[in-house]
Amino acid sequence: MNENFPNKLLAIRRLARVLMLSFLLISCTSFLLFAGSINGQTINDTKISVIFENVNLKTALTQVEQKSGFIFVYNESLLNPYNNFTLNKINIPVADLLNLLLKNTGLTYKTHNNKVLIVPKEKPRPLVPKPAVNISVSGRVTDDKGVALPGVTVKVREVNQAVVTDADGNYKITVNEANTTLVFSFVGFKTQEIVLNGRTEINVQLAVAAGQLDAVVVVGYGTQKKTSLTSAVSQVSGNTLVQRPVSNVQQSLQGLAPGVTVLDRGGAPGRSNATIRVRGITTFNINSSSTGGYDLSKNDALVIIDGIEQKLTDINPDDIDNVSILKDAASTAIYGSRATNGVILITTKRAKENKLSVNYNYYYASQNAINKPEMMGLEAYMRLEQVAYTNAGAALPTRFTDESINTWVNATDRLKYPLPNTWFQTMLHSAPQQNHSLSLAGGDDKFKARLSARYLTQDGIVVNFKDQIKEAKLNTDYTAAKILKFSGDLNYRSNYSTVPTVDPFNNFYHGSLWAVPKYPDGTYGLSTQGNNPLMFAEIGGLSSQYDDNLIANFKAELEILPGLKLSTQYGARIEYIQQKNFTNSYSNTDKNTSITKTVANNSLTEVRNNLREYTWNNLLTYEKTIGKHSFRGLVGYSEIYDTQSYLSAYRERFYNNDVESIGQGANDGTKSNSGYDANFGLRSYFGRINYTYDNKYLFEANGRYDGSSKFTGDKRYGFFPSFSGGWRISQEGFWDNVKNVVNDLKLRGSWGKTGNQSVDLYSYYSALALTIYTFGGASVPGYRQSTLANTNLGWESTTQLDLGLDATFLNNRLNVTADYYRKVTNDILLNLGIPATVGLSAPPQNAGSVENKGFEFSVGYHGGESGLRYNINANFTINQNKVLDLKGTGPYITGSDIDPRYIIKVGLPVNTLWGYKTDGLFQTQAQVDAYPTYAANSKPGDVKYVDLNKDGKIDANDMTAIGNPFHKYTFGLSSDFAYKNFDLNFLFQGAAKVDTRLSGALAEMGNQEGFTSAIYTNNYWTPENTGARFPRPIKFDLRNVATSDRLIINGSYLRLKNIQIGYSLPKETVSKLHLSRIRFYVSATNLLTFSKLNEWKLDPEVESGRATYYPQTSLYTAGINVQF
Amino acid sequence: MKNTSYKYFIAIALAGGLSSCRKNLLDSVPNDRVSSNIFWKTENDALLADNALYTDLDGTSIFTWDALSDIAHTNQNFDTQAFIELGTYDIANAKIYNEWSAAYTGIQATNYFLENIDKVPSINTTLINRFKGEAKVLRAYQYIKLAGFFGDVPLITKTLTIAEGQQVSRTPISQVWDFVDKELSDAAALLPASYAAADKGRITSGAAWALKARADLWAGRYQLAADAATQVKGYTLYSSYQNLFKYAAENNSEVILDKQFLKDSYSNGVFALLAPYSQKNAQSYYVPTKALVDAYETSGGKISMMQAVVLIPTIHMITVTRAFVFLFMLMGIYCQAELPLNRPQIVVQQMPSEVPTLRQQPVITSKNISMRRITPIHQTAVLTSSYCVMLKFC
Repeated sequence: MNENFPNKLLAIRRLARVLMLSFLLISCTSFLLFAGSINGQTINDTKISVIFENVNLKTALTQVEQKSGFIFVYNESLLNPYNNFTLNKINIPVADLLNLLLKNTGLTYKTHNNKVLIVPKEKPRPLVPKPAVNISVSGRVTDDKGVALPGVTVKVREVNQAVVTDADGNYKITVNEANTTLVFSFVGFKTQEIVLNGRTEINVQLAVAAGQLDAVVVVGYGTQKKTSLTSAVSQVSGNTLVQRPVSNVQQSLQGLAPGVTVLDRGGAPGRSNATIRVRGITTFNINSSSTGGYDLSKNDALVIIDGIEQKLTDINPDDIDNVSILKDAASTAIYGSRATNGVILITTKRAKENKLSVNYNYYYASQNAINKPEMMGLEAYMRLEQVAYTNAGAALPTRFTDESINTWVNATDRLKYPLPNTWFQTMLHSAPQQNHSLSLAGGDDKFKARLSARYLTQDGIVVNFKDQIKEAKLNTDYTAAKILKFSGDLNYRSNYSTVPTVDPFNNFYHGSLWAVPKYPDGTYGLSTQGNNPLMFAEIGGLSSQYDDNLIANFKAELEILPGLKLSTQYGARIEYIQQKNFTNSYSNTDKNTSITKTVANNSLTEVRNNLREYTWNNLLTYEKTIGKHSFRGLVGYSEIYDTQSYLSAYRERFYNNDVESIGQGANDGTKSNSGYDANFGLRSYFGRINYTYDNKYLFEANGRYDGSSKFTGDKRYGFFPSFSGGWRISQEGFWDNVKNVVNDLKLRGSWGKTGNQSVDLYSYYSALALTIYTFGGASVPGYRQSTLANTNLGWESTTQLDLGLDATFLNNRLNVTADYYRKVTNDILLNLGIPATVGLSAPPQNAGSVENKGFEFSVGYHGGESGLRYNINANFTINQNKVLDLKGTGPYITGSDIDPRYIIKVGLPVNTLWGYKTDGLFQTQAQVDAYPTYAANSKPGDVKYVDLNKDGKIDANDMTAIGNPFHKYTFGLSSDFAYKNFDLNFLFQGAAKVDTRLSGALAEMGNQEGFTSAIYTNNYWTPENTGARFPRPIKFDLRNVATSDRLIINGSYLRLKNIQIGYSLPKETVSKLHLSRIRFYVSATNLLTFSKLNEWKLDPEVESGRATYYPQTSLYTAGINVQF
Repeated sequence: MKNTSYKYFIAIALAGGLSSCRKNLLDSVPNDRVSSNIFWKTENDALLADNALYTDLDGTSIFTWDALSDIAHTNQNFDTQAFIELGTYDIANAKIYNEWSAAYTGIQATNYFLENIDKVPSINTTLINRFKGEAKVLRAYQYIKLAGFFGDVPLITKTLTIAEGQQVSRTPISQVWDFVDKELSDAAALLPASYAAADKGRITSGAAWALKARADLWAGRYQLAADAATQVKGYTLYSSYQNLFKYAAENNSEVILDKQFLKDSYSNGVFALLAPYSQKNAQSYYVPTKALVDAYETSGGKISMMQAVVLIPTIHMITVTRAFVFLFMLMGIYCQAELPLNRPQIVVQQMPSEVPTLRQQPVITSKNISMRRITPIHQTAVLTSSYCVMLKFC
């Protein structure tokens, strides 16, 4: 497998070298002196002569150094106190000389590699350990206002011994040594360490911990104290994210923050398709004729990582310090035209302390398909088919005669009499996933750096799916002067993934019955249609993709005057995608049936997709407090320039399936290539003002003026303002009485406008498209109009109102946040269905409005005593989506009777499932005759579609809303517990009021040549089984499976997303190994699911449709964290 | 200290300078498309625009029309096409909308062309007139098709804005036929009878007359049809029926007008559409029925009229038959032998103004589009796959 990475070893070696270098750089300190060395001499046999007259020690040593040739290493400050050396010695060994010189000082010397180190003398150690003396230490622990704190853990640092303060905050502990250090810790307060120094009474005031009231929240272009925040922002810490060892961050955000809906729809390794929606769907995807490539879907949140817009996929979770999710207009308006769908701000970890810390994380996970849809039993299926053919009035194929069914059922040779569908059982296997992640951080007052590296490998649960991520990231900070700071970051990530060129998953369900997966001789069985997904996956050819990302970013910050700061940041993001999609040539004949599948020509489609994006941010910030008034202000200017190019080339008939280089294919008329270029720019001016009076009344205004190259004329620039205010009721005098219960309470409200510029490039540009035609046997070009240009195109704008409250109770142990929001998106860019008589494709137009409104709640509780500590966080979101206006057009209907049908219609949520209502099954011919039917000659056992408009026929006019495609309720419950050295965390996540429309083989109950779920067994209508849940089967007739409420399944679910149990080795053991922490853990994802879709053996998070995607997996993980 | 701050300030200024303001950041002009503002300046522009019009000629969609009739069958019953064959469809069926919009796309292209062609400064009026003739015929082609499918249709002879498009109404079919008649007569006068080798495939005066004959047949204007048909001269049957449908036989002596395909660079998807599943990428979408087989003169000498051919409202006088006859050609390949078939007779039949074998159903109206429900009266014994046909003849 590694032939794709011949340079792997080299890469590791190179990485090791980089790590070494940075290590050296960090450990280099200013007072170490280096010089040459002497060969083979020691200070005992090197003799010199010296004459010192009233010199200081430094001068003396300098002379010794010069005469002996040894290198002396010392800290000058150590030598300073020693003067007045007078000495006259001839031919004295250096060692003796040093002994003389240092005799009456507190110093001694050591030799090391021809260097002489002058170090302080060690204090003589007592020969026997001091007998244990029991000292009793007592005291009182209070908070910063002098209120007693009960339940505070008081621990002796050196040994495993602890007590807890009583109701009055008093404690008493017995220690063995006068110099013991006591550690005072309490949830919600800063941990404090105090060295006894012989004292026996220690009274402590604990300060409220950061992360509680003084917590700082990352907001757009800055940070803000949580207490003074007037907007709706959710925070997730990096530590929480890494608790789920999944391969991408989107998945790990699921269930952690209210208002954030993560749709985790599986996805092949390295090609994940999890999407994040912040506060619902604001726009439709009708206008999806994008240039392809990088155009992110229009409802995706804006993702800013360290100030630069980036992809969320593939970022190393171990690098994330925290994630801020900006939800309301007050917090997002500063991102103006890109902010409608919320903003996800990710701050990566940087070196903080002056010491070097090393972190290593490793896990091994086993991935398994959560669900394996189950085919009907052999006989049950064959009987169903018999009935289906009979119901269709068609001749029974020989396979389904009674005699044949007997033979088939009793057969033991499944190579001759294969089971109809075994793909889920034979092709899905468990697969490993491994992740190594290493980071080093440290530095000094001037220079700090954090270097991290990651190596992830993930095999697919189906053959030939694979992914490998290699990543290195360097974050550096340089303080040039107190007023001037620089930082430079570099991140390289390479994601190599493979998938079979012919996607096998469609054939898991469709067109692949009665095929032996593989004969013992290596050939494959084939279905009537010539399909075999195993064959496609194994020999159909491989599609490989390198996705290389380089993100570099330089930042400088200058404090011009106290409180006035200027910063500039220049960032570049470069992404190169290289794909080789090779289709193998092969021929396979099913030895049983003689059906042959031949791919005569192999072929290669090679794709290059390049993106460069440059961001330049400039900020001027000012802060000033005058008495009770405090001001903060920010003005900024930013530019983004993005350029993309796409190239695709095709050739066929390569010498064999291994020669996969584009130049080796047939150089004739079959070769072809294509490509496109695109670029866009965004120029922005933005600002923010905060005003706080007496820490009680808070006010903030934001504004951004964005200009985009996607628009022209007076529509080019758009202005996006927001205003918000807050009132900290708990700071008022009258609150003092209840402050013990409700420690903090803040009401806040915001209003603002944001935009969405996700329109195709050059939509305003009137252009002619190139066409190809033929005359006289030769290709000729031509040019024609294809899309109507709309020069009047403008931004989509979203107006959002948010009312919220933040409160903490019970000594800040319990915190509650609640928000109500109403978000109205206007001028939605969509390709209104223009009259076909205009004869051109519709350009995007500003039309239509969509509303999202809802509530968000989150509650957190930090609790626990000395032994057991725990955190519980719960969040709950209600989002109601509604189309308000389509400018008199529509409704827009997509889909058909055999696939999910969606509608965009005023009054309904975007993409509501649309179809017939049904009223059970016809039970008698009389019922059939008395009611309109969907298909002619309907019979008892057919579905009774409701004639909603009562016009005597069943047609499109009878359709109605039958299901809600997007979660109305989402919720999450996460908890972590720590007891002694053990820790446990788990996450429940779920959604409700969402519907799924199954289609394809899943819905068609054997009417076509597809997979037939075991759910139909003995549960379809026959004259003998009239109470059946499903209608009568009719071969090759879809009348009973037209899109209707019968096929809508409640997609609500609750699942145990993750559970993890960890154990940290005791400190004593760890320190013997010169480490600071070792933790082992095991975890499992998606362990438990409650859902209606369980009976279909399908994942509840699936999209409506045919379920022909890479199956969702669960992970069983074992891992280790090491710190030193 | 002062000194160092100054140094750092310069460093920042330099960093800023490196990135510097992009003046034309927002004026990105695409380099992957041609602006309409710079077009219509030369004869060559006119030629390029004229070339593009031909892409609106129908390609493999003619098979789908055959499959709406009794000579062929849509194999996959979940194809939108199949719902029409089964009679369970309405205006929401994508097939119907696609036919409607494809036709108007072609009409818009020709209208746009005819509105702009005179901007080209050229003294070669013959050439410019020829271009106009080509465009007129291609526009008439779309109207014949539309009228055949939908009856009364909006007659649009200029490019429309969205607002204008929302105001159009249907024009009585007789006026559509009048328009087609006049346009084709006018165009025939502007077009040459044949082209040099490099331009083979362009519309000739013969093609204009042939189309007019077809249109008048449909309109019930039999004398006009007969007159027009007699103007179609100089065509002879191609010698090898088996090879008739290969790329190599493009522009043979039998062709009046056909869509010009070119192997590999402008290929048709006929193979994938019609060949059996077992073949590379083949889907066997449409299969012939016995009615088509019966339309052929067999080696035993029995002659059956190709009734089915004329049911399809298309102008491809020859290619209509080509569509399904192509199947037999495919079979010829796989059977590795000449088929024991003689070519079908193409007969100009007297046709009533309504298509006789299509039963009319209530009209469903939505905005300004409406159409008749088309239901084949009889679905003859359907051969379930092309395999069966193969076996029968091999």
